[in-house]
Amino acid sequence: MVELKIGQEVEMEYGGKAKVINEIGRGGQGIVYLVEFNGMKWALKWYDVDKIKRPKDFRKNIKDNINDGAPSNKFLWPKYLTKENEDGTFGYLMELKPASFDSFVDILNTYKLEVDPQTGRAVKRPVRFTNLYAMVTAVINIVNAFRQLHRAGKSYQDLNDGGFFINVNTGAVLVCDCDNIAPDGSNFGIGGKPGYMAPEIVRGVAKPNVQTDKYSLAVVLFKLLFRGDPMEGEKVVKDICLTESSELKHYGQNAVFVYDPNDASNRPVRGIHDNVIKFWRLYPDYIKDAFIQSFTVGLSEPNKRIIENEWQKLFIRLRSEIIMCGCGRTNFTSMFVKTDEKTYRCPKCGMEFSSLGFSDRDYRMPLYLGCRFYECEIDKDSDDFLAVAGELVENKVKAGLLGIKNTSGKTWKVKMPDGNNYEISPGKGFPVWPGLEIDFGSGIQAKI
Amino acid sequence: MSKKNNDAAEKEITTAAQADLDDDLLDFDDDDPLSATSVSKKSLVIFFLIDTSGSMRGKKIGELNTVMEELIPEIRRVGEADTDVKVAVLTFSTDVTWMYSEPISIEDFEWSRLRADGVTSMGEAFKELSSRMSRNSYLNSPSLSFAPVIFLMTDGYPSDDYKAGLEALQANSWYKFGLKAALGIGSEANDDMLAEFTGTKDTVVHAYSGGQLAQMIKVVAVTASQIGSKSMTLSDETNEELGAEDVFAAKQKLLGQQIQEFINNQDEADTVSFDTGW
Repeated sequence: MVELKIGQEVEMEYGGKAKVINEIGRGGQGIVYLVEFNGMKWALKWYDVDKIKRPKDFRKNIKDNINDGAPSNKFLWPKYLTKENEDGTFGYLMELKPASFDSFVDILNTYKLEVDPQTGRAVKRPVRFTNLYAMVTAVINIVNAFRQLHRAGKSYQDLNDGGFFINVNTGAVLVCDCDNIAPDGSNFGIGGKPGYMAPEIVRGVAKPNVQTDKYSLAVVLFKLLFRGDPMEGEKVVKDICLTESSELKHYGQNAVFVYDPNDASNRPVRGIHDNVIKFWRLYPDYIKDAFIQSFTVGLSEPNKRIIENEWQKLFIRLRSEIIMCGCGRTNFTSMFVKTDEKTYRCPKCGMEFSSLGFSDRDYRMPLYLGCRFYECEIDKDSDDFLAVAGELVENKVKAGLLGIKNTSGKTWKVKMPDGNNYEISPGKGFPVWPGLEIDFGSGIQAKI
Repeated sequence: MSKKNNDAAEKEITTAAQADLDDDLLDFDDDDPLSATSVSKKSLVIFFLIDTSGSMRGKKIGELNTVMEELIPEIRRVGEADTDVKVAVLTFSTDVTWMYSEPISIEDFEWSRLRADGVTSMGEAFKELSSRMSRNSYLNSPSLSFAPVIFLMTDGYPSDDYKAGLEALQANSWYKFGLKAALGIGSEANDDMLAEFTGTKDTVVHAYSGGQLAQMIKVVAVTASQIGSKSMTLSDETNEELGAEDVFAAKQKLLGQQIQEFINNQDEADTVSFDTGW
């Protein structure tokens, strides 16, 4: 391929030049460089056109994507094309990943290698989610990004662990490598990354599309939560060496989910798949059932794969079922003891948590210092899962008194157990009392 | 059975039930959804078979040492989150010697500079490699493995019976499925013999100068470890159901294609030959 040199200038399609500063990374289709253009720093993806099956169509597709714009701000979307060289090589500019984001690959590895500028040696730096909220929020963000993309009539095609950057403190997500995104039904030669590819692609009978994206999305989510391969268990490990034909078998013709309730032939193996064994038992059934659905009937019936909106609902529920106990233990309600319909108890320290029941759900949200609910949970018409609508806080004057603070933009009506109604305007709060009722004013009520 | 025994048995059962319960709910030390270890990975061993006979002395071995030192950091990232890449180096001259007593993780691997002396016992090296490419020896990872990458570098013709060694190797399944490449250094290296080792001419390359040597080692090693450390993208343009025969040795073919593509794109003009100016 034609590699660029440091200091080299690349002409942009609509004038101006991008100057190469250094190399950032290499992938299957080309090299990414740090460049300067119009006084700003950008990432330049520079293609090895020999590796692209139909370069002209491929370039046209990127141009269309640039014109359409990103489906949301969660995408590091192509911004400007370079001029095409005489030999057909070209590239595009995109925004740089902010330093606060880590690659999903590093999260899966639990560390990243950084070269110490003093010694030149590679040093391991840990990369982990700092809290459970952030991890579940990252899942919701990923799912939501693909929901937006699919709603725009496009498919990602090459969904894999190399396609995301995540902020491990907040769960914010940036989707990168957007250059294979194409209108659903079109494909410019990319097959996908093995392990993430839908079985029908591995078998050679389908090309990437929105339905195969859904399979890959389920793999990404499984890897993020369970830290293992959903199809690699005893059956696969028995092969010892993963040759091309065993791969075709285990990921295509005869893929078996490690927790298929009707087929125990491929269970995770202790000593190899310890993460999967450990984490599978922590999650509530509605999450496990969604993965079972995706990786059993969904293997052969693409239309039965879990849709993004469904994933989004499930994980918004999961986020509301986190308990951060005072003893330091953080887990889902499924790992706490339910002493009665409304109360959870920490099995480690014995602390009890009351809960809030919403009128539109059949599950309750545990109440603890710092717990939150979001705009989409109190307003049927809202899809905003990031704006905090209410939060459990300690009263600033009376230490030890806990209450719910209205952080939304609307005034709530609260009926106290004494039968009196109070209006709680934004910024105000009220104590947590058993039997208390809240009307959020948008068709949803809640009761402690 | 005495009552005492009964009690003891009951107590044991309770303990077992309790243990189950602990396992489900109460194992506080190990129930943190965030306390993940690294995702389970497949393993890949890259074998370098390096000729350190007397004819390699001087510029050849010097260049080779330098490029290998530089190469190690370059292949550190190829495993990504999928593969644990390890390196093993077998040198052959009069004797056959492993650089380390077992394959070393690429992140911890440090190149130890080689010296050249003696004759070319390549057949012995093949035998030694074959005996180590086994579940009971160097390929003992409990997790799933990819077939190894085997990269041979030599500047001359074997001084021993390489055919006997090669036969031993060819009977080894890891070799059969492995990704094989060979580099002939200078004009004495024999292409046909190297192709016997790789099984195909497409993954045999040549270096006639120091610049070429560095380039070829890097291109072949990086390409082979990239292909070796990942599963194959098997799909093609036909849209027909693939069978095992369609995918057989697909990685070796891909490596051959990529190496040939690289060679065809190279400019002919490289400077001083290894075989002149001594």
